[in-house]
Amino acid sequence: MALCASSFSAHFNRTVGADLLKPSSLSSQFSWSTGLHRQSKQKHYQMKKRQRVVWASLAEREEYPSQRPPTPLLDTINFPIHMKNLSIKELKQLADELRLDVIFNVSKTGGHLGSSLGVVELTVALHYVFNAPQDRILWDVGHQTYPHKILTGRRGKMSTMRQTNGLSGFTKRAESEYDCFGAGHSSNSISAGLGMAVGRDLKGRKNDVVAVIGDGAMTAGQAYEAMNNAGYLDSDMIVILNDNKQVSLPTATLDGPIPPVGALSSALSRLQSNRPLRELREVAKGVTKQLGGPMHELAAKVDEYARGMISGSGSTLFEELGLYYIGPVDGHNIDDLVSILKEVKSTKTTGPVLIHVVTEKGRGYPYAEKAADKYHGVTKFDPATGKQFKSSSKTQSYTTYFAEALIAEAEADKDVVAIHAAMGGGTGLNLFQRRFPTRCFDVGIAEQHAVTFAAGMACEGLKPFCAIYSTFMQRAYDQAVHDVDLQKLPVRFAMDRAGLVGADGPTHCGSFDVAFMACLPNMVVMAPADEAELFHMVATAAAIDDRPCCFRYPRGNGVGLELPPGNKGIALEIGKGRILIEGKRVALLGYGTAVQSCLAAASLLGSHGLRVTVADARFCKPLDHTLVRSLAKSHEIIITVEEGSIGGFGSHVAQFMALDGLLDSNLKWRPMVLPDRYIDHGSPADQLAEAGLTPAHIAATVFNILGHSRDALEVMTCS
Amino acid sequence: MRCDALVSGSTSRLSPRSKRTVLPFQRSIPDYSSSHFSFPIQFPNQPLSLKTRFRSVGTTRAVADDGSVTACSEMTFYELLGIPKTVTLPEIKQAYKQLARKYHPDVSPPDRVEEYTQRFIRVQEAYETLSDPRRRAMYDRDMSRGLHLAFSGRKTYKYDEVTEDRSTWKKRWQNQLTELKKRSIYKDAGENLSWGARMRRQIGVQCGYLIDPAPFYPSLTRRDSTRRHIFSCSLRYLQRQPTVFSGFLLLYADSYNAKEI
Repeated sequence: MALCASSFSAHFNRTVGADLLKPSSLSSQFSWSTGLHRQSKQKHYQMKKRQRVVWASLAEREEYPSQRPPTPLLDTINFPIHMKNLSIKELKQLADELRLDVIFNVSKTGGHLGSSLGVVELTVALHYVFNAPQDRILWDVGHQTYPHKILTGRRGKMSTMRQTNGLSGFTKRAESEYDCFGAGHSSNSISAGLGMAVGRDLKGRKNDVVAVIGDGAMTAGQAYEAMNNAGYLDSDMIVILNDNKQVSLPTATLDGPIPPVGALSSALSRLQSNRPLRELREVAKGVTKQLGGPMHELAAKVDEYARGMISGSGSTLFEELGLYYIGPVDGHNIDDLVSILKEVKSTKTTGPVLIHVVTEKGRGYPYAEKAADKYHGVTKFDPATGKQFKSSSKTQSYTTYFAEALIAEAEADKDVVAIHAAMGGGTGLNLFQRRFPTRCFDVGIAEQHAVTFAAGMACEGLKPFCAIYSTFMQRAYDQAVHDVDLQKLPVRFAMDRAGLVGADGPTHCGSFDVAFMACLPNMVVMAPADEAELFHMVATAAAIDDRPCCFRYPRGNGVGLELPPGNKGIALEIGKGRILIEGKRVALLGYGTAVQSCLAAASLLGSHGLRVTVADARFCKPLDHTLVRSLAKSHEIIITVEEGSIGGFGSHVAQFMALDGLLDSNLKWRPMVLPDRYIDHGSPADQLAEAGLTPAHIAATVFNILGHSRDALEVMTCS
Repeated sequence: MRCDALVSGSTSRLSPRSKRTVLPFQRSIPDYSSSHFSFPIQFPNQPLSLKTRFRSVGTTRAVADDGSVTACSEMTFYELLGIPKTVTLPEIKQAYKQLARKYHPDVSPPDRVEEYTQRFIRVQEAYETLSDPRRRAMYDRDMSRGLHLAFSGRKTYKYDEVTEDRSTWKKRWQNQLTELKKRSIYKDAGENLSWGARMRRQIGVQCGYLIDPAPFYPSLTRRDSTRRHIFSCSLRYLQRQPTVFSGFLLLYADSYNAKEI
């Protein structure tokens, strides 16, 4: 019946759209418009009014057609300058149409939905009041910028969102001049905004700087560092705190919505409702008005000075940091937003101002509003029903395997605890949390704190597992060096999303973790080649109790091997690799899941009659010296393959071979690493091809070294 | 009848702003026109009040029409799911799953499909309310007050609260804006030596639209700065102990301040 409804509405839309000048036919269909088919003078006006009401009602009726929804007003807007002549009513219509467009686009490509829906009105208000790109508008998390991209000239390319050679899912300076600063990791918008404000002051310009930050991003320390500095420097800028009470990401455990993490959210919610104090203030005002005269002036002054006491127990936080607090403001009311922004923009010498805007994530799309995770990140879905098209696969993701392995370890050993930084769903620790609710810690978006927190736990004899994405580990590097490695504390780092990550692009790419972890003196660095190895490495990590260790695994699904019984792996011998295929002349030494590419390359080479050795190093540190020596002694060519940057596994192998004198003979060593540039977002296969690490590339490298360039070309072009 | 209307499938979930015109066997023109009755007089920024009025009409209609509906609507959500009031989420889930399996239209005996389907819908709504901690808290609060607003009637109440909050917020931020404007006049006065103030003065003087305001304000004497220091200390004390006495103290200190200047 939903189908019937949507087809009816589609017909309805087409007739209204096509027949603007035939009021009689329309009115015959709709009995409620009996009062409207009058003289021709009024026809056009009535038509426009009805049409406008009809389009706005499409969103209210919540019928989301699967074909592109009609967006007459949005079609006239290509850049923010086209919005300047709209009235507030038209802005509201624009917001509705923008919302429909976002839902339609995300349903076709997948991506982040909830956060974009929450800031539609804010985006419209910002672009209406401010003059981008002269006025700098910075977004803290790029995935809420879908409406921003639509309004700034990229609407036509929205169907290529997060695909190869398409729009990036996050803001990107290289993509458009309206994207002022790249945002992929969070909490950097105030810092960058302050920098832009200072630059503007020093250059003598007069534009505005607006930085939008979310309440989740406020849990990161960098936001406070920036606000502290902003208060001190007192440069004019506007910070918009987008508060949707989702102080954790994704916003749910497996069993339901998550209560916000941290003490900050309770402060923010207190801000929003402190009726008694406000009423007291109103009474005081009334009294002083009665007294009149100088008393009134005095009282106004007192009021101004003592705002911190009266206007809410949480705003003192921002006031103390030096930002002028305005709010809370309903973030879905364009009237309010536009009037506030206009006032603040027109006031000279404000210093830093913080506007506290309250929005609802996923607003406007009932399935998103009701979902526990507010449809934060979705695959392609059907807009009419909200059902996502989940692709089925025989194996599960490495993330799920890691969670299961950790649960098995925790069942055996009660000292095992898990820590993550607001990524319960992404790291799979939601499963762990359901099983052991008191042993799973979510610290908010604070990786630095998570690492030192784990170090503190390790001091007391617990066995902490820090599950942090490889790319977010970059934030916690000093803590890993100074707090964990220097003191040789047994903290285990489980680095998910290592290597290339596909649609998220270079902001989330985990290419550097082998390099920066393996150069630390006390760290054990390992990587599983498949999911069975992952289980064993989790067990190994649990067993290593005298030094820190880390292991990395990529995004994606397993290869389909048999899992150890009871999900409990067996601890591996540290510093021992393994040989998977025995061959002659050429050895492919892989690290991590690159071993799978090596195996595929070996079969390609096998079809050309070349039998190569494939070995899995397992450990980058300590390196398996006997394995490398034996490979060096019995082969002419060694190729090390890893999905990491220069300075990682291959460099360690080369260092060892050079020091051991293995390179002095006829041995040829070639590394295959990620190239020295950032690989743009795209599908994983495209990214690997761009990076040059596909099985075909490996086979072609082998052929090229052997001198068989024709075979190399053949293997590259045929596959 | 609303209960029958919701047979259209588990995907048509109740939501605060939906008209739910997806009625499988009641798709007649009068119904459609009545659902869109409000459009010509409705502006996009005030959908709430009209919708809530419409929905409450719908609810009473449903309650009045069918006797069995009123009977089951008198049960609380907890009774419906057969659980005591102090249960945790997994137990709620378990109870819901059991009842859902029992009352699902596909597995119900053919002669009692209607009744079972209605119960199924009720059970589903009960689960949705009780599984969301916020909604459950509100429901418990309503129950303790003696109001059993079943189903959609519940949601209208929630929205009234929300709109009330919003209007009070508006007054607050309007005040804050006026204070911002007042403050900005004095912000870059002579004694403000922050980096930003210095830069603004420099740019203003360069551009020619700002005369250096320092001469208009009396220069700071040592006595003034001490007094200001005392004042700011008392302000900090005040912020920690907001009593009426400290309010008067502040007023006195400020009037003393004002006299001297």
